[in-house]
Amino acid sequence: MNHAQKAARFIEDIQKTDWHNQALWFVRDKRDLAAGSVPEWEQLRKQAEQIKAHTLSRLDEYLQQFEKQALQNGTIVHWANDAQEHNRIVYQILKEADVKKLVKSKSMLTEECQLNPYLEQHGIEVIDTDLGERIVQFRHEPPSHIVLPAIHLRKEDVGELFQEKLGTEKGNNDPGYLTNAARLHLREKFLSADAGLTGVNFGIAETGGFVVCTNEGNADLGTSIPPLHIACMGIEKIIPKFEHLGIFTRLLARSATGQAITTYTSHYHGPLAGKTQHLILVDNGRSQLLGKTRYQKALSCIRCGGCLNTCPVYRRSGGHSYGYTIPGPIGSTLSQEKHSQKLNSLPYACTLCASCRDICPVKVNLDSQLYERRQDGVATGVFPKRKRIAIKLLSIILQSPRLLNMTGKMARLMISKLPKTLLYSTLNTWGKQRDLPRPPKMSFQDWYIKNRKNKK
Amino acid sequence: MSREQILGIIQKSRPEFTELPDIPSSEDDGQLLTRFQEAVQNAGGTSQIVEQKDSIADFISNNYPDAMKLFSDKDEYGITSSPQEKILNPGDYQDIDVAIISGELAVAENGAIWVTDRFIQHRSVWFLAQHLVIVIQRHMLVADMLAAYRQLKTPDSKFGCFISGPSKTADIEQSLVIGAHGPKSLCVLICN
Repeated sequence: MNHAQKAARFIEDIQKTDWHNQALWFVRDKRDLAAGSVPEWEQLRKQAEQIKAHTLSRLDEYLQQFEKQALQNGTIVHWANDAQEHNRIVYQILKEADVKKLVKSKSMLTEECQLNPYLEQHGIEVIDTDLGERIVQFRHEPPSHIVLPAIHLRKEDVGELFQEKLGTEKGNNDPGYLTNAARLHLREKFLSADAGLTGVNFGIAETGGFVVCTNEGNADLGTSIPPLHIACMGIEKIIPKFEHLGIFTRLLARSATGQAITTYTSHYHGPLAGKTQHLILVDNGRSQLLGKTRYQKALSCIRCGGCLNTCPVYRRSGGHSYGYTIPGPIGSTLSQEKHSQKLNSLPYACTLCASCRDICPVKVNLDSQLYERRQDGVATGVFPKRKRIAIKLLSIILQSPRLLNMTGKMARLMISKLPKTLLYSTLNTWGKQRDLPRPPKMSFQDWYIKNRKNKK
Repeated sequence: MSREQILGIIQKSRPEFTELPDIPSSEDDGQLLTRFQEAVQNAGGTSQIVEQKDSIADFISNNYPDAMKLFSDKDEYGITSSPQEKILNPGDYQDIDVAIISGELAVAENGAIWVTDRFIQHRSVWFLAQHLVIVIQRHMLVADMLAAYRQLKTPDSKFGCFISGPSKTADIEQSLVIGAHGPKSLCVLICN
């Protein structure tokens, strides 16, 4: 099923769709308030855009500087070409340390690499500790949003789930009550885990350190209690200098949830005595993307999720309609790197409204990327078949004045004469949620011949 | 080797050079304390100005009367920490009701306070305590994150964290819940 088909299923429940739409727009609203309270907001966006562009233009140098500094801090640095290598490296580290239980905080990169099933197959118990992630882990489904993993669920769904998994009271759906149940359940995991794994929001080339931004405290419990910390980082997360964090930490949380900053902005510069810290630099197609002039800007993404919150298509179709690790505008363009055939509908999960570009803290040109992806789809033949046939037909008609006139005449006749049931039959996909326009009495050409031709 | 492969591709594919932007300094509008206290509140925390350090112990006993086990990272706060000898592992702090810790820098725009592990062996107590109190001095206030990072210059500790407010989540139907996995409340004590 393509995005449109999955979205059609999603919107069958109109009430739930409206609720999902409002929930996400509420987050967008909060973002607007937060951005509006910073007079230099647009300046910050420009600076962030430029810092990222500069970094990408010297990415190899910064990665090497980062590695050198990190090693000096005592961090063990690994490089993974692809998802499989990343998973193998993580497993190897855990195996050598005899780890049985791993606590994980949110990392879309590990989702991208499908780390959890790999580790579980190899006998490691993996516990996602972010509340939203734990919820979807219990439900055996992927997150539907990169920052708000369980945004597609109502509190009743969570209440039922926790009743089954955690033994909470039947019918008690109070978010405070349910969160507290998760707190008690996961606290035990933090205290008994053998290792903690996190993602990375920013890697700092100048100091070899890395930063993890969270609200719940789960990432920090996971790294401060167990003796082993593994951090997984996409190579594009590098920024040159420590002071650049002063720009990005002002933009990230405001763009994501409307908070001025996340509760915890944790800076890691090597392990404490007696502990071990590993960092895995992951490529998985990023270095290839870097060479594509029209799409390389997507590597500036700081994974705030703002484009998802503002996208009218995402809000009304939900993350699970995309079929890719990351949904929404940024996911749609990134997905085409490896899945342009299978996910050929994603560049069309877009109205080209450019709201995404408008709010992106690093000014990624998401809308034009999706437009370009459509062009590429045609050029490489992954353009969806139905559209191909329709466009071909249309191009034949438009290239022939005779055919155009004939078709126009037929259309005007049909719209004014045919009964509604025939006119809005299932073949008329355009007319599913729209009324056809009222036809003019005559075409412009006929009017011109009648009124203007041969007159001065 | 993956490292060489990755760097090799990047060297060939990296875009044309662009400059780093100039980043002008932040401005201090002289309203730092007011803005800071407002920001702490917006983040779900509370703040209190205390006249002297020795009133901290009183503040704690008045505001956390039911607290059985306390932790303090400085003797000068006059608080008796739970016996330190029992703390062998980071997890041993799981029963701490209130942890009183020392901040080093405070940011007016978002109520964040910079804390490091320079004076503490197990930072786990910051996250395991049911309630967190951070003590700062008024002179530690800066306008925004840029000013903060420029003042820090480079990190001089293995671990440092900007803490803003108590732990929280809105993962269940976007309903904000204060107190997720970390402390359920945060109070900032601002000494003159």
